[in-house]
Amino acid sequence: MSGTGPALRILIADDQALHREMVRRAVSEALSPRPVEIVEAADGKEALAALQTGVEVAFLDVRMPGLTGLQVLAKIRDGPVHSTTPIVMVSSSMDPRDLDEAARYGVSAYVQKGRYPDFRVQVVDAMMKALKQDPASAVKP
Amino acid sequence: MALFRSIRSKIILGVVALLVLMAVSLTVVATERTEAALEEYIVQTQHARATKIAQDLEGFVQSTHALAAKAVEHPAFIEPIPEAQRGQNGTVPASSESAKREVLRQLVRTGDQFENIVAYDLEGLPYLSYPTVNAWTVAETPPEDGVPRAFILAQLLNQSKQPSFITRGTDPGSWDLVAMVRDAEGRPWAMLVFHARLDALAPVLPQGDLGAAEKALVMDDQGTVLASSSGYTPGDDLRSQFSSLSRAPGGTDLVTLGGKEHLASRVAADGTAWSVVLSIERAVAFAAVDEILRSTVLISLVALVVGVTLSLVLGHDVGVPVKRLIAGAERVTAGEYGTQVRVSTRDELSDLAGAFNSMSARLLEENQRLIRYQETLEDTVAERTSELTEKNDELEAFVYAASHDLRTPIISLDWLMRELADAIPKDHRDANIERALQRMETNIEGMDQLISDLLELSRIGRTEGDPTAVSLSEIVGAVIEELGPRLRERGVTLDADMASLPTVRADARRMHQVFLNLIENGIKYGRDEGAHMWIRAQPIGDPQRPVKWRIEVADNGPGIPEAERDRIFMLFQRASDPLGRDIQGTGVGLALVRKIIRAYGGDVRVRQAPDGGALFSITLPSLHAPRQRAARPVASRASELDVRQTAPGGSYA
Repeated sequence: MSGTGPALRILIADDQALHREMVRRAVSEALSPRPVEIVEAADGKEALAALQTGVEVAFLDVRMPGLTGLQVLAKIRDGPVHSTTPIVMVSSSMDPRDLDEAARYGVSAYVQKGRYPDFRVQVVDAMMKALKQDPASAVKP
Repeated sequence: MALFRSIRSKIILGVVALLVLMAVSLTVVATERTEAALEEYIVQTQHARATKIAQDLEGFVQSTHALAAKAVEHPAFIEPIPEAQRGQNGTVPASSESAKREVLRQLVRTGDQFENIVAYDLEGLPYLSYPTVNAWTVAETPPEDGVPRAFILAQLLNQSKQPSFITRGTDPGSWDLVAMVRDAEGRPWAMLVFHARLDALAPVLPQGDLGAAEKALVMDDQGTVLASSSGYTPGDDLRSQFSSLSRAPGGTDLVTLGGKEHLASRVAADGTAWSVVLSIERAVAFAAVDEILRSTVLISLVALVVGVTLSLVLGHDVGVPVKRLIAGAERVTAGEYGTQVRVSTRDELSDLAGAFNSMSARLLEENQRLIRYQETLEDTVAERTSELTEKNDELEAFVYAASHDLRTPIISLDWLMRELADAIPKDHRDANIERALQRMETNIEGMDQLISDLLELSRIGRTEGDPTAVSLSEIVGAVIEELGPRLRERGVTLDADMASLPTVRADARRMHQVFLNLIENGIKYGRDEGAHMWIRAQPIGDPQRPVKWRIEVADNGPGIPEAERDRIFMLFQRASDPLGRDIQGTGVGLALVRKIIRAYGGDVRVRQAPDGGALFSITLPSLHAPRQRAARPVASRASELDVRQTAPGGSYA
């Protein structure tokens, strides 16, 4: 990523704090030296609320208690509060069914949770896609 | 030969042969015996009759002699005619002549067997005869030496000392009685020759007594017929025909007369040179025997027919049941268990049929039991298999779920480890801390790898991946590149015959996994020094269009013990290192390899490499082989199953 500029507001939604930390660090490293403002959400409800405050990119964990990442995605794309925010789906299993469903609503990238080194690479990749891409278009992994 | 193939024909032939033998021997014996008996009878009777006739003949001869004696004792003849009165040409003085003539006349009349009687003097000159005949004719033409027959006769008579004798006549078949005439002093002075009529002896023969084919005749010692009942006339020369009779024992023999065989008996009349021959046509005589023969043959034929019929019936009685039993047995052999045979004769064959039927029914019973048992067995096997498959599925599901769930804490652990590492600045880390961190990382990496492998393993079972035509040479190339550092690190030389590697239909990522695992194994278990590996492929079948490919990955390490070569492909089973090194591994790699390969219709095995190391041999269908869906083991027939018992937490293939 080039240059500094205003802080990029990024939502990280995951029920596990550790995982949120991983994403946070990966994103920071990916965007560095550009300042980032991380908004964290521990479940779908918080994620939805955070999205409504406006973010540049959102990392949504597919599986979350209460509202799942997929449901959140559905809500912001189809729901009353329409949002074209670029979304990156974070999945542990990379289950094709989840990914297909996500693709219907337009997702910029998919990232598989794994050990950090590999994870970081994916996140960098995903960020690039998310920031470049037309957020409303669907993409398949 | 085929004729003896059936019991029936054996019986028939046997009986027929027996009957024929009996009939023939019966006929032969009967005929022979009868013939012999008949012949004996005929001969005896014939002989007796001939003897009787001969006796009659003897009587006749005697009476003829007596007649002659009477003549010559007649006073009329006692008185000799003086020589002077005897003239030529048989003329005699009338006075004595008439008396003597009268005697002769009476004799002729009385005897009825003389044609004429001629008186001769001792010089053989005739002088008297009755009836009057030309004496010279009677006396015969003088022979060349000029001695008249009568003279000879007179001489003979004189010499014989007999009052009379009988001699052959001048005509064939005739005979003469010659008697000496003596005077009162007993001095012979004349000879009387009685010329018998040709039929003189006829009365002797029993005309009415003879059968149609019988002949009776009287003949002299030279075979000349003197009298005959039929067929011959006096004078016939039968010497040749009857010569054998004189030699034959008992005076009986077979002679041929008139082209027909006759049985003849000859009896000599005592006191004469004559014999009586009685003959009967053999054919006629033995007509009775022929009759017997015919009867015997007829009876034999009847017996034969009866016998054949009987044996046919027998044969039927035996043959048909036997045939039915054979047919029944064949049907049972062909699989028609329970076949019943019907035999209605009430003998051992029907018993046999009964036993056969019981046996057959029992066979059916047992077979059905067997079938039911087999079905039960198959059901049991199917049940077991489905249980196993279910367990298998459960296990796979569990592995998947567990592996999946385990990922999260691993990720967390990994992250925390990094945070910990970050928390301790490098210059504050002593060797222990450093080592500890290292080992933490290694272990976490190991767990992560294991989880990935397990997840991959379960994924193989659940999806086909994305099979395309993949070039194995490309895949192997990529793997070699990826493992480059590790190969170099361990000093492993790798020879890959890229040109030989085929293109197959498979998921590229999975094939990558396969070769990654195999080569990694080769590195891990290979030699510590001078390790070498090679990879090559061979077509199986027609090199131009092979059905399958064999891809080999081999190393020159210590190899895998024979006992483990099957086991290592099972989950969580790892080979022991013959060199005793502590080699890290998850025990999933080879299970994964086999699962992937089998999913694409191939298989993988390991054997010893030529240089002692491990040689992994992968077979895969070629691109143009018919597509096969890799089937999960589905229970069909017991014999086709290859299911291993699932040990607790153990392997599944």
